[in-house]
Amino acid sequence: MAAEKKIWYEVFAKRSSRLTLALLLSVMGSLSANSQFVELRTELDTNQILIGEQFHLDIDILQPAGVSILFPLIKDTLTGKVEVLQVYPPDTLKENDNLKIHQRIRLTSFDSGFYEIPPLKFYIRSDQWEDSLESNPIYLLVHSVAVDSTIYDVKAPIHMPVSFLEIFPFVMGGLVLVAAIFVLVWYLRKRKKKGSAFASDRPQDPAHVIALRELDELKEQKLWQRSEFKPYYTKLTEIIRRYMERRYSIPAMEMTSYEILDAWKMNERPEEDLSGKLNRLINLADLVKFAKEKPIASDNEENLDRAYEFVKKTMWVQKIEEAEDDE
Amino acid sequence: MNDTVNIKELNEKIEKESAFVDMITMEINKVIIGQKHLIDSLLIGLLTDGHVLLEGVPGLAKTLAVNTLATTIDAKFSRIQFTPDLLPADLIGTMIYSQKKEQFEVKKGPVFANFILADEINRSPAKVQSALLEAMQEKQITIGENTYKLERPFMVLATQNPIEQEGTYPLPEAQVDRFMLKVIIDYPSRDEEQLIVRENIAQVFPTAQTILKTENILKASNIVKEVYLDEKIERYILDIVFATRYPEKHNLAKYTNMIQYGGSPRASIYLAMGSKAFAFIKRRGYVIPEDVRAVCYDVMRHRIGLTYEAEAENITTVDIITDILNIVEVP
Repeated sequence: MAAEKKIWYEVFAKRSSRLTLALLLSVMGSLSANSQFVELRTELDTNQILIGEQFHLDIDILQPAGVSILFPLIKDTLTGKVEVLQVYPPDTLKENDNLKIHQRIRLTSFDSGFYEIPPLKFYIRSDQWEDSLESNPIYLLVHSVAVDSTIYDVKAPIHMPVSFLEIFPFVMGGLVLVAAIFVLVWYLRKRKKKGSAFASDRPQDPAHVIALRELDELKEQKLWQRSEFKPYYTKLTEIIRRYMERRYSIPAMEMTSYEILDAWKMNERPEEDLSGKLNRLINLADLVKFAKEKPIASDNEENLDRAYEFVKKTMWVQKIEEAEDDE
Repeated sequence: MNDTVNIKELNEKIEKESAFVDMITMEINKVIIGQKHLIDSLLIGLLTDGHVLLEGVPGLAKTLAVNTLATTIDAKFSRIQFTPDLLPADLIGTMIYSQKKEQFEVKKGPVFANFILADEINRSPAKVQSALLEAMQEKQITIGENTYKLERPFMVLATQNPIEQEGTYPLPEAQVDRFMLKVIIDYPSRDEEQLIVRENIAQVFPTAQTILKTENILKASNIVKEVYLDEKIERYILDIVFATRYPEKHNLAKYTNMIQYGGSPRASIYLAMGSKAFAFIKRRGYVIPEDVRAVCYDVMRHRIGLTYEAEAENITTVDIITDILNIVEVP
């Protein structure tokens, strides 16, 4: 795991292969009293990683205070396959008369295999001497990811919890639907009490009863007696037209005078006298309504009588009685 | 309303002044067989200073009817055959440089007449049709910097073939709205057509005589204006026109999406004027709902714009007018 090197110095002495043994022995001998040491320790936090996994190389140096250490220049890779991701700044700590330097390097590798991180070379320099120091090589095993050839089924949808906001529109829609059904049921029941929901607004009284009642009311209003001819004839013709609508189902209110007469004749085949009387009534009413005609009193009374006669001679009840008489 | 109107006096006046109606009708009937409705419509236009658009397939005597009407009246008559290459200046006139006088002179076009027959008006593009707009509405023509009043009576009688026919251009809405009446000419009856065939085989073509002067027409027009129109009839007219604009308010919600635009105020005006003229023709000094109904189709049919939805449903303006008349209460 760790590569540790302790180097004992005599002045000018070092373990470098480049120095001769003779020189080494002489220096050691002369400076043995000032013997000092620089301690280098390099360590990986793991020797085995998965491909792409990140790990750290820690460098720890213990040195005397008067010595300066020149760190190796770290490039993009330590070897061809071990890549440097980040070089942290060194951290220096004073420990008695020594300095303790710690540096961390973040590494990774994207190729599986067994690698050797080569020795790192540090240069040591003091006022009187300079030397170099190398770390031990470190070995790293990079594992590849095992390929799983098993075929798995598609994963089922993940069920997320339903929020209230999501179900709110449905809740409201449901409430509205329930309210609509409630209102519809209420309305239909109400209509049922009055009669069938699809029944027409046909009044209970027969058409002639209503018409005769309205003619009586008109007579009592004494409109023409107060020279209100136009309202008098307007109401008189309206009574006749509404009677025809109820009695013959002719849309008389939306028909002109001639259309009403034609439609009535097609339904009734009336006697000549009655047809003539109705014709005179309607014509005079048109004159009053649209041409400012002011009929004389006898005409007004006569036309009211004609209206009564028309209703009485064409009313439904009489037809039934006539049919019974015929039998 | 003018309460001083004496309907009896008016009736007598109309009885006297409307005698020419029978004379014109007789003269026209010498030449035209059948087409009673067409003749009535031409008379309504004549009496109200209104323009009439006649539509029908070729060969239904549209042009002959207009020609005959113009013949019966001693007035200036111009016939303009509308063609695809006609220009507005061909209608209203233009400024021509006179080398002799060394100045521009006005050369008046054929529109300077009392009766204009715009034959096959939809054979010309809209720019030519639009040249008549000022003449029809303002009764004046502007050429260059000068405006000229047209002589009364001024009446444009246009004929057109149904727009589905090849080589025709639909009239712009503004132009169509200026026509008081749009009369659809239908085929003659069997008996009428038998008579037409006999006359053509025998090569006997009676001609109409000139029996009236323009003064007679102007005098009659003034009397038509006096025909009494009661407030009830006015409200009836407004009910009809408003039903074309807001059908949903008159129990005709089914037409809400069918009608693009309803009758303009001209519709109400012409419906009132047309009803008065019809009452005059019927020798009456007052208008009754029958008169309104008689002119309603001709006044309204070209003033209701239909949507694509209506066309897809084969709904026509006639269907809409019929339903409106069946639902609007008669006074």
